[in-house]
Order: sequence, then structure tokens, then C-alpha cells
Amino acid sequence: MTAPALNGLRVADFTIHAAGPFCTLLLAELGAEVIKIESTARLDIARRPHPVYGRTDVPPFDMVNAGKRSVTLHLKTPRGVELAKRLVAKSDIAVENFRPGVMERLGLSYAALSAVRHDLIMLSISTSGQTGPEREIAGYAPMFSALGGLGELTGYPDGPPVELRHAMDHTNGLVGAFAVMAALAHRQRTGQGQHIDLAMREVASSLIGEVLLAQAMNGEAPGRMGNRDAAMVPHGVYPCRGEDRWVAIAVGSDAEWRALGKALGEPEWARDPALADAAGRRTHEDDIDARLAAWSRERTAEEVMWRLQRAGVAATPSMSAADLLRDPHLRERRAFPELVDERRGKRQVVGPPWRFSQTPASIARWSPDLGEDNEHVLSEILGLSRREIEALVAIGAVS
Amino acid sequence: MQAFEGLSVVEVGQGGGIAYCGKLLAMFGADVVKVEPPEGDESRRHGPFPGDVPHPERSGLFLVLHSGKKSITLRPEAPGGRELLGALLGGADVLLAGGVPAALEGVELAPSRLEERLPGLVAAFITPYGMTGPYRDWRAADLTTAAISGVTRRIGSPDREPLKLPLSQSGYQAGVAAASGVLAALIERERSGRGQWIDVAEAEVWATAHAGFAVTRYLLAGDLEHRSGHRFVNQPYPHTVLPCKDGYVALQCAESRQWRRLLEMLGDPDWGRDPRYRDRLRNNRDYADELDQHLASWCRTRTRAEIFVECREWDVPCGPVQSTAEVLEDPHLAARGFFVDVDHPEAGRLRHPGPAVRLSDTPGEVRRAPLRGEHNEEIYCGRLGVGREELTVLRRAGVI
Repeated sequence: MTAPALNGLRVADFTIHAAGPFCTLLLAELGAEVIKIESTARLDIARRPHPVYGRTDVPPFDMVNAGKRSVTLHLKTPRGVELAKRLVAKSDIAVENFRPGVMERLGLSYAALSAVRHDLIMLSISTSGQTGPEREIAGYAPMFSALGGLGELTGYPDGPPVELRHAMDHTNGLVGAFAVMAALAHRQRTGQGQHIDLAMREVASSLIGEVLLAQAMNGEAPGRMGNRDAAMVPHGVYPCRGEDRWVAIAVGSDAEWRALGKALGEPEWARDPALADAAGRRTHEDDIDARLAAWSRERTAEEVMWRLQRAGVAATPSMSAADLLRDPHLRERRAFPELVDERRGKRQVVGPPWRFSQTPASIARWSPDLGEDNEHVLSEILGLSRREIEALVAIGAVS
Repeated sequence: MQAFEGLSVVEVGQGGGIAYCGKLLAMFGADVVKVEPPEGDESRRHGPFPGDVPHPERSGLFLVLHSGKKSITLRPEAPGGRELLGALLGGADVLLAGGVPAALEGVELAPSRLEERLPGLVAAFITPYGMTGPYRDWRAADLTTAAISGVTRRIGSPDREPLKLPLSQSGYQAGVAAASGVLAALIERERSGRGQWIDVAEAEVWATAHAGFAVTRYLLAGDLEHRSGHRFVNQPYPHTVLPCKDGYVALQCAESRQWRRLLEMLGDPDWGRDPRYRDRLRNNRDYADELDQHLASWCRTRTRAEIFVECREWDVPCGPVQSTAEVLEDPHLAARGFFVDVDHPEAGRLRHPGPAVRLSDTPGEVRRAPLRGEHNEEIYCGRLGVGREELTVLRRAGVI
């Protein structure tokens, strides 16, 4: 078996919440050893069991912290900070997503950490970045989207913006992993590390490039379009038989429109020459949507999908999490593999987003219990003796 | 020096995924050659256009997705086309191939064939459904990809149809995922000397990365996420978007101390002490409408900017929903120098978003997008040794 791509690299992971841990999850899936440094001064809000938020939304925690090790250090004690620095000295990468200023206050700034590890790659993820007048603001996924301009575009054309968390944490994690590996590639050639500043609102803005250009070109830009598209018509999500069942249909050309008509059994309304081209269909888009909905309502989403796909028209059910888990395509591709853990037994997990031909990405272990790897980290990586560890526990630097 | 200086990348095929992946690599210094069909990449026919007048060199979508690349024209399926593509790949470190698997395989861009012929090449295949599996050759659009991968189902109102995210996010998402995969393979190649191919399915990137929380929630807790309009109900209240005097603001208090500060900011209203509201998770399920009313009555008398300032003072997480125009003029982004003015011979000077992430020593840069076939001579004659007369013949035959 070939070693995974990032084999031999170690990540000191200070992240909490979603985007940061998702970023280091990706690095773990690629084979890096990720050590989650959990400060007992302030645990991740979704940490289970959490003294205050014990029954909050924990499944996301289990997803994004899979494949990692956990060490508990009290980062508000000098000895806890010193241990964190010693761990960074033995790591290639440090990732954090505290508010700008927090790492400095803890004595763990890039300057302090690169002093103990000269070629360190450090990724700092924050809402607004490490510089600028709004650097200190607190934020979560909806704030990045709202500030970055993606939020304004998210929703029905005739309604307010809908909730804005979607895609934000994960995109930021993906961009963070990309940046870390860009720095790694640079380090491979030059031996030099660097500090990466990721502002999540800027990532949100980078996802609406063509709308920003429209504004720059014409002084105006399209607003919320819901499921409609500037070029394709019809283009929508239509009701199907069953409770909350839907099918998405997108027609990209006149030929596809004719194929759709055939698949529907050539009803008279679809043969209307006024609908033969996109401009005509745009004029009558509401009518077409109503006709399609009346047709799809009588059928299951799967039936519509097969019938239209066989005709060469893009159509897919709007799937729930349960649908994804039983989808034959994703099953064949092992998107949600089974993980066997010695102690915890068998579980299905969410797999990595890529398939590599030579160095497969995978999840090696389930999310760790709090401090599960203290022994491994302190004695094997940092080389501390049992007595030294006991002393650190006694003063509360390790718990 | 840039992070990917000297890295040679070839981008062939269709879709936003390869385009955005190539853009990210180009932004940090890679030499990215975009292979366009002689009639131009399909994104050139897609708006926005200045004054809404279509022009292949002025498509906002093309300009933003292909900034910093070189362009050559080539019809791989024409006689001699495959050979030219093969020669180009012979000197490349990375191939980004996008579109329908069968079409890629038709021009000898099958993963296994490439691995045999070019063992040092890192090849990323970015397709809607992946290179394997029963749906691999199906038709797709951003909307249908988002639907089949569990994204739309959770966005929108409970009593209305599921919604997609704006623009073509499937391509952006798969593009970033592929870029990270390519880098992992390049880092590994440095060690082993061997390339490999990477299969990135847009639908799978959505299903695993973005729908992963919903899948895990279902696996571990048996809960299905439902559309809940402007709120997210699986987390403590507030996680909501509310109307105010001049638009909307997003408010979220993940931590109880943030919620306490928010109540203080509102002047410690009586309703804030209502014992029914003690459990913030339950608030989101049972009392969110009335709590929204309480908050909205405060918001309605204030502008987004006023709310943002107050929330900053009280350290309450708040995001004013900014218009595209406001994002372009955002003083914070201006102070960080996020936007970059880029000159283009046909489209003029346009403001582009800068690198999505800042690397202190290899910061990256946004350069202009190429004209169609702008680098034909440079690449065909300079790099591949094709004679100028031969180039004319190929052009006449419609190969380039």
C-alpha cells in the first residue's frame, strides 16, 4: 500500500467550530498527522460532552474532527503555552481560527511560533482577515456570506435572503487546505515557511466573481434569481409524488427542449413554436414551469430523472441526507465509507472529496475523545517522562 | 517568487471546475495553458457583457475565470488534434480535464491511458458525477448537480421548492477541491517521482464536504435537515436573517454570552427574561417566530450600518447583507487591497476580486485573461516546435 500524499507531515491544529476543523480534516484525509490542541480554558462549542453545550449540535463535530488526535492543554497557563510551542516545533503546519489578536495574547503568534520552528507554515483563518479596520469582528458562516456579497444573491427572487450558512464553512476549509499545500509546495523548493491570512468574507466574495464584474462593467448586477438561470430555460425544481419530493430540471439548448418534449410524450403545449427558442421560452417561463410541475407532480422524482436523463436532459431528484446514503452512484464510488474502530465498532462516515489513483485519501479513525491522545503526544512526540507528565497534570497545564 | 513558478499546467475541456482550478494555480504563478476549441470556450458566450452586448472577449464570466492564463485554440477530435494535445501534455506537470467522461476518453484523455503514457503527470478530472459510477455520463447543470448532492433540499422555505445557491457554485467548489488535490499529488510526486490522476466529481464534493454535516447528523442522530427559510434550526437561536430599515442583517449567537450581550444591547427588554426563552435550542424550534418579531422591531428602526456598529460595540456577531455594489466599495476590503484593477485590451479596465487567500511570501496576483488563441504561436511554434507554415495549414484545416 502506498503512503498517503501528506504522509510524514504534522499539523498543530488550534481550530474550533467548523471552517478551521474542516480544513485540517482535509489534511488528515490526505495523510497528515493532525493533532487537535483543545484548550481546557475554552473548549470547542460542539465538543461532546461539553459542560455547557453538552447536547448542542454535535454530529458536525464528529464529522470534522475525524482522523485527528486530541491533546488537552490549558492555553491560559504558561506551561500549557510552552507545551503548545514545543508541539509546534515538532510540526510542519499550524492552523488556527481564533479572532485576530487571540494567538498573540496567548503568546502563540506567527512570530513566536516561527521562532521555534523556522520553516513553519501557519494558516490563520478569520472572518475579516488579520488586517483592516474590521479585523476584530466576530463571525460565523452567515456573516461571511452577508458581508462578502454571496448572501444578497441567496434566496427566492420574490423574497428576502434565506439563511446564509451554506457552503461557507466548507469552502473556507477547502481554500485553507489549498493555501497550506501551496505553501508546502513552496517550502519543498525553498525551505521557507510563511504565514497565510484567510479572510472568510473575501472567500465569499471570490465565489461571485462574474457578478462583481457585472457591477464593475455596467454599474448594476443581477440580484436574487432563485433557481432561474440567465441562459437556461426551463430551469427549476419541480414537485413530485410523495412528501417533500422534488426534481431539478435544466434545459440548456433548443435541442434539449425538443428532447424534453419527446420525453413528455409531445404534449401540445410543448410543441408551441413560440417556445422553440430560449427567448420565447423566457417570455413564457412561468407557464412552462406550471406545465412541468403539473406533469412532475404525478410522478416520482426517480421516474422523472430516469426518463429525462435517457432523453439527454439534465434532471435529478433533490436529495436528502437519507437519499444520499442510499444512492447507487455514491455507493459505487464509496462516498460514505465504513470505518471500523477497535473500541467504538463500525460506523459509516463521510469520505473525502477526491479519488486519487495512487495515494488514496481516507479517514483513519473516528473523532477523538477529549484528551484521548495526551499520552501519545506528550510522551512519544514531545519525549516527556511519566513524572514530568504527572507534574504537568498536577499544575493544570494538561488535563 | 510565486508558489507555483515553473509549474506547467494544461487545461482542456469544459466546465467551471477546471476553469476555477486553473485560475487558482495561475494566480499563484503557474503557467496555465487554456485549450479552447477554435470557436472559443463556452464561457465566452456567457454574460455579463458590457452594455449587455455579447462579445467573446468581453464576457465577465470568461474574464474572471481565466485570468492569468494563456490561450491556445485546438480541436482535439480533428485529424492531428490528439497528437498536438499529446505533445503539449508531454511537457506538462499538470492536466486539468473537464466535461463529460466519454468525451474526454474520446480524445485519449482516459485516466488509465494517461497514467501509462505519462507516468509523471498529475491529472485532475473534474466532471459532474465522476469518472465512474452509473450516472457518470449523465447530463448536468449546476442546478441538477446541487440537487442530487443534497444541497438544494436544505435551502429555502419549508412550504416552497428547494433552492440552489447563486451562480455556478458547483464549479467553484469542485475547482477549489481539485486544486487542493492537485497540490497534494504534486507534493507526493516530489517524494516518489510519480504522478497520478485524481477523480473529482462536482456532485461528490457537494455531497461529502458541504452536505457532510447533514449526512453525519442523519447517521448519528437520525435527524433530517429540512428547509427552514431564513433561519437554521439545528443550532441555538438566533441563527437568523432579519429585515431592517434599509435591507437585511444576519444575526447568530452560537454562544450564550453573545445572546446575553445582544439582550443588553437591546436595553434588557422584559421579554428577554421570559422563562420560556431559557433554552436557546428550543427557542429555535418553538419560539423563533416571536423572537424574530422582538428582534425585528429593534432592527426596523435602524439601518444595516447602524446595527453593524452597535453589534461591534457589544461584540455580537452580525453581518449586514451587502449588495454587490457595496462589496466593491467596502472600506475594509479596500484597506486590505482585496480588489485589483486589471487592464484588458478588449474589455478595458475592470475591477477583479484578488487572491482569495493571502500567502505572506508568495502573495499571488491577478493578471488579465487571454484573448482567444492569443498564445498559439508562442505555444505551438515556441514550445512544440511546429513550423509557421504548418500552423497555417492547421488553422485552415480547422484544427486550431
